[in-house]
Formats: sequence, C-alpha cells, structure tokens
Amino acid sequence: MFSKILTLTGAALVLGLTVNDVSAKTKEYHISIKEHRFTPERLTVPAGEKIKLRVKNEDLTPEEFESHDLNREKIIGGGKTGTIFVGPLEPGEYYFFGEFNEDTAKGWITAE
Amino acid sequence: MIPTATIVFREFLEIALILGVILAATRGMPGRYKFIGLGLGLGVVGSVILAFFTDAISEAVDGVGQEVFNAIIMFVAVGFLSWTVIWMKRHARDMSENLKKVGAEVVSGSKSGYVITMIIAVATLREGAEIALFTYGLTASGKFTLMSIITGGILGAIAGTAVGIMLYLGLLKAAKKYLFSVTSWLLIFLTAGMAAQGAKFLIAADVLPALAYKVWDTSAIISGSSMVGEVLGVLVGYTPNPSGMELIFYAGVLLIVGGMYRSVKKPQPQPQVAPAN
Repeated sequence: MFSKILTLTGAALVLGLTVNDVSAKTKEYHISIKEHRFTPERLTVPAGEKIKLRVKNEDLTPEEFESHDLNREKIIGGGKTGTIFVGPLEPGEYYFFGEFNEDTAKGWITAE
Repeated sequence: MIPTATIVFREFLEIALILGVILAATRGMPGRYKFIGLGLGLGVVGSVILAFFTDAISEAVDGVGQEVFNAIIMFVAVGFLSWTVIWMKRHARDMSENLKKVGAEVVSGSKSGYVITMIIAVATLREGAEIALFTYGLTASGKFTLMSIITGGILGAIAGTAVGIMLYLGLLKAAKKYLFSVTSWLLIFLTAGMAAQGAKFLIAADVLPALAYKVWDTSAIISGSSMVGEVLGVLVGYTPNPSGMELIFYAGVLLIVGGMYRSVKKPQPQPQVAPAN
C-alpha cells in the first residue's frame, strides 16, 4: 500500500511538470564543451536568483557535467545540449567539472 | 593512470554498497541469491539499453527528461525499499529461524523476492548506464587502448566490489545480534537518501522549487567528492549542501517509513493457539 502512495506521489510530481510553465524571467547562460574543455571556463552569474544553464557538448563523446559545489550532475550526449537549473546562489565561487574527462574539463561559476 | 578505474570504481561502489546492505538484510531468506542475481542481470541489460536511449530521454520534456527519468527511478526504488523493510519485519521470524519450508512458502506466496530483484535492478540501472556511456566515450575518443580501458574497468569493479563485501562482512560482524534492526534502519536511511536525491533531480529540472538552495554546507568537514563522503552519500544520503526541498523529502521518508517500521509488530514465537481473529 505504502509503495503505491509513494509511486503515486512520484507520478503526481511528474505530472506537475506539464502544468509548470517555463518562467520567462529565468536568465539563461551558455557553456560549451569542446575537446573536453569548457568555454567559458569562468562564468559570472547574479547571486540570489535562479538561473538556467545550457551546456552544449560539441564533442562526439558524452560528458557528465558535475559539481559538488552546485549539487548537480547531468550526462550530456555527444553533440547534445543539456539544461540545468541552478540557484538562487549565495555570492561565491562554484567549481564544476566534466566527470568523464576531469583532468581537462574544469570550470568555475562566480555568483555576485 | 587508467581513467576507467576511478569512474567504474565510483559507480560500482554505489551498486556494491546497496547490494551489501541488501545481502546482510535478507540473510536467511531462501532463494535470495536467485532474486538478487536476477536483479543484477536485469540491471546490466537494462543499463546498456538505457545508455542507448540516453540522448532521446534527455531531450524529452524540454531538455530535462534525464532528470525526470532519474527522479522516477529514485522514487520507484524508494517505494520498493520501503515495502521491503516493512515486509521483512512482518516476516522476521520466518527468516531468522531459517525455516526453509515456511520461508519458501512466504517468499513464493507474496512475490516479495521479486521486489528485491527490482531494487537491485533499479540500483544497477542508472550507475550501469553511466559506466556504459563513459566507456563508450573513452573507446570512441581513441586516446586509450581497449586493453587499458578493460583493465581499468576490471580494477575499478574489483575495488568497488571489495568495499561492498567489506560492508557486508562488517555488518555481519559488528551488528551480530542486532543485525536485523541495524540493517533495517540502514535501509530506511538509504531510502530517505534516495528520496532526497529524487527531489534534487526535480529541482535541477525546475519541476520542484529548491526552497533554500543550500541550507547548510559541511563540505569543509566531509567533502562530497571524498571517499567517506561518497560512501555516506550512498548509505545515508549524505550531501554536504542540501537544499530545503531535499531535506523535506529526506525527513518525510525517515518519519513515515521509520514510523511504520516501528509500529509494525515483529511476530512473536507463539506456536500454539491461534488468536480468535
């Protein structure tokens, strides 16, 4: 019975997505991945508001955008673009990296 | 340095830790190896299929399909795990006394074994798909020989499995008399952590509000990327910087499932007269 309730809750949350319209005010920021490096490697975003990161993977191989500081992880296929919502952030510096190519794919987001 | 080793280790660790707890928790349950093995098999096959469809899933639902999918997987696992914890307490006596016949009837009668199969399959699915995608990426990049990729993968898998076995043996040894309670509570915390992770995916997809993006930050004490941080992350859902919504999901599951677990009575060994109703 209990698992049913939980599954239903999950389903309800997913259904909520269709109702939840994209808020027009969320600012969008673009990062691209090429030859397992991020461009730009340093990105400044406003603190205190939710932002939308669009990460474009221009390599042929998949990458995982990961950040412990931002508490996010997302796989982005080769040639694909992924969307990640972040924040509202406190002012400060947030490290992110490509988990599949950690030695080259590094970047920092500064919130101010 | 073989890059596959570390990644495969990290993903394997998650599967191995969950497996370790489940193995310790289902001790004495007849046919458990069959159910667990079946779950692993399904998970491996499923993760390869999932890896193929990753791009399609990602692009669904306005580019956040992956998060929604991951969240569903998490909540399914939460459902199965909660059910198992409660079920195991109800049937604790059958299992602890290891009455093969009674146990076998219980297992086949209630299909509970297949719930364990599903838990293992679901746990393997996501991490397995990551390993598949990563390995594919490495192979396609041509930077490493196939041999070094395979060697690294095997090393990582062995190391991850070793940690899982250590957890299993450690639980058996340290918990001994209280093995049942310890593993049950461990499963409840693990479940709460999965619920919080599911919530995190929905926040990243902007389906749920974060409420507060970072309620506290303990990454200076235990970093999320450290070994300890990762093990705690799997076992009790440790996150150094949880959001308000994640905490609500975590506390919610802990209270509801923990409360149900406590209220369920462990069957007492009273073999004689059956009660009137």
